[in-house]
Amino acid sequence: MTDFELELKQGFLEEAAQLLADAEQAFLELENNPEAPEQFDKILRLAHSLKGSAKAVGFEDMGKLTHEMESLLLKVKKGTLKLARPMMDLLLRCNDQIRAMLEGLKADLNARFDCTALLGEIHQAMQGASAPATAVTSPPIDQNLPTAGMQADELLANFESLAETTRQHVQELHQSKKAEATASSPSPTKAAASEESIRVNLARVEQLLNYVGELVILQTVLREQAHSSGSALIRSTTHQLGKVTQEIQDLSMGLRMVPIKPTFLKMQRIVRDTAGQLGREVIFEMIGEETELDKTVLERLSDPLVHIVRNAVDHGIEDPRRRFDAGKTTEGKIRLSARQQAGQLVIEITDDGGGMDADKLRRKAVEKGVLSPNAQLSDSEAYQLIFAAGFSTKEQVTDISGRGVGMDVVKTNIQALQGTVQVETELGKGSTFRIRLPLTLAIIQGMIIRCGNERFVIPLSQVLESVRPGQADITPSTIAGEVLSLRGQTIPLFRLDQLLGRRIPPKNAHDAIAILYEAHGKIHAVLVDDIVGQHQVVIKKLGQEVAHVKAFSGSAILGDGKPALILELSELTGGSTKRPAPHRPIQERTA
Amino acid sequence: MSRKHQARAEDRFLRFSMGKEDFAMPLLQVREVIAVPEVTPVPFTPSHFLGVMNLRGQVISVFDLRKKFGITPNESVEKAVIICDLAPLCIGMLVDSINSVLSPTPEQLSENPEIQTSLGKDLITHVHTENQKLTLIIDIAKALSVEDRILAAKAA
Repeated sequence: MTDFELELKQGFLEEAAQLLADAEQAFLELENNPEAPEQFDKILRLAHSLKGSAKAVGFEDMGKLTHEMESLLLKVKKGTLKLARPMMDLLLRCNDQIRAMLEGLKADLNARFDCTALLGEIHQAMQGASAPATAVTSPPIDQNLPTAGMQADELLANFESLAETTRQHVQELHQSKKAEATASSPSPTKAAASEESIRVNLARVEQLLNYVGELVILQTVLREQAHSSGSALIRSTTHQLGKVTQEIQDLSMGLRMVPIKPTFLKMQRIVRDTAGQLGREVIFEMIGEETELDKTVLERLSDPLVHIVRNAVDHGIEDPRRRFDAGKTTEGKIRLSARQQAGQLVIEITDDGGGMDADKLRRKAVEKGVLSPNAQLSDSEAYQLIFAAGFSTKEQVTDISGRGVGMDVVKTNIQALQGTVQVETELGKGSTFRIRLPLTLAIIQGMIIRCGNERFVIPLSQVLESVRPGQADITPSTIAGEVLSLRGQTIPLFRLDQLLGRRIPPKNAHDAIAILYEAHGKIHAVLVDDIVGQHQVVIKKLGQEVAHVKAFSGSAILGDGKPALILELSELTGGSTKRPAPHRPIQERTA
Repeated sequence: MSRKHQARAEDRFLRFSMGKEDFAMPLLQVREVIAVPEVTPVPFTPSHFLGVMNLRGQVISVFDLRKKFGITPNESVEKAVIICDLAPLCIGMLVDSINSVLSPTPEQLSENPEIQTSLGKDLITHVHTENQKLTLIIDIAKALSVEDRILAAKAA
């Protein structure tokens, strides 16, 4: 085993342990509250991820188990099977088995596992037979009883699906690890820079950033004092200190950034493996792999990319025969590109395959119940249907894709990173997926506004525009609150001080500034006293003790060293055009 | 998780005053003591939540423990904020004044005192008596019902 493989596998084990822990929690919550589809979907996603990674790093046994587990979960989701106690037991035992496997693999990376009994059980459960109680309660390894035979098959199937997820995941992980390895160590490949590097704990980097932020603030204070000081030496030293401080700040901000290349390399591997399995011929091309982005963003980008890339091979690229008939080269082409554009990272996955048929998508969506039969969708709207939950156009369930979970996961994951994903396609010519992401989650462009004596930060990405409305533009209405008329549009208007539960005597609205933003698909406006400025701010999480106040996504330390809260405007107005009910302090209920 | 106090009765405590009363907390939970900082108020929080402050680049919540306990503040003394390290939480607590570090002998401490409080069970872990002066040793996490609040956050 090469060092690289070793690192990949170890990386997988770490990640898988986390996935398992998450899955277990979701299972338990599901048991407490069986009417929680989101928990079930979460488990499904976790199983899917685990399957992929395990297969990718070559843990076949685990891949097999997770694959079957996923199949079983899907049957439950479709309602073919009931999520009753025995089923839950079975699923939890699969979870336990995977954990046991992980422990085994930690001790010995070449360990093999016999999960025949468990797999049999999964198979039996999938055939709808209620598992005999003995089999359900006995540990999977001991299921050699004749009655357990059928269950064993079932369980085996379950196990397979679990294993598939695991492998996929391991592969992803492997690839990301590989990339990390190439990025952070002197590497024989020509592409990697031959700089020496060390690994640093991310927590220490964050701590460093905290102190640097403080240094900048202190430096500002010092500079102001130095100006009024008579000593030329103090002034010039302070000036130099300022320059050095700026350098330190720039450098330390860059510490979190890593090149995207490792992730791209992992995609290359996935394209190769997937194409091999499906008998496709694919040329993989990457552009802009040196583009840097925040490490935490990169980590969470990997899963969605894997799904899109697999889909491109499976659904996008046609088999060589069809390509030939269509007058194309027999080799399909998949291109992965990354670039920075206007402070965002843009990743495109382009294939020259068959593209998508808008009519087919519409039909399928109606069949699947994702779309109502009367809905009128434009072609480009129809293409976005692939991101809907439970939408998959492939009939056959394959290892590669076609379970109808992939694209839904892609969208969720990317939205969680405050990014967007879109697809463009031309029938017969291919498709392009375009992902836009912020370069980092740690720093945002913030608009700093004033409301009374307090300052707040609004992420600039949420602001559509800001206007100073004239008095005639604001119409009060007893039942609908205030309405702002802007270029013929009527927009519900809120006052920030009221939203925040303040009772501040009403001021002249025409002194105030209305900030337009979108919440749940509708445009709203919020009235603030003033805009103080626009700055890059470093997001600081709020403590758990206030994290439940959804109206604030965090805080930022402003130039004078005081923290300001970052507003989550869509949470403040709750997305409705009703007057928001005054928020009750949540603590008072529990304190 | 709160620490078990019984096992380390010889531990030391930080004694502080609120109003006319003396309290103490385990010294191990004290990260530092600072003068009252500027705080940014946070809407939708109860009145004993003062707001958030900047502690050398870290944003920390500050509570007014006197308000939480319903104690009339002693206006004549200089106030202080105790920065408590209650992993994973790090919070500040406003009190009237910091007195001393207590290193009680086992005889001075009585455990599991039978004291009724309106502020939740097990809030007072020990009572320290010295020269007929009582000091209540409190569990800060429980005092702020931090656990309840996290649960509430999860449920929301």
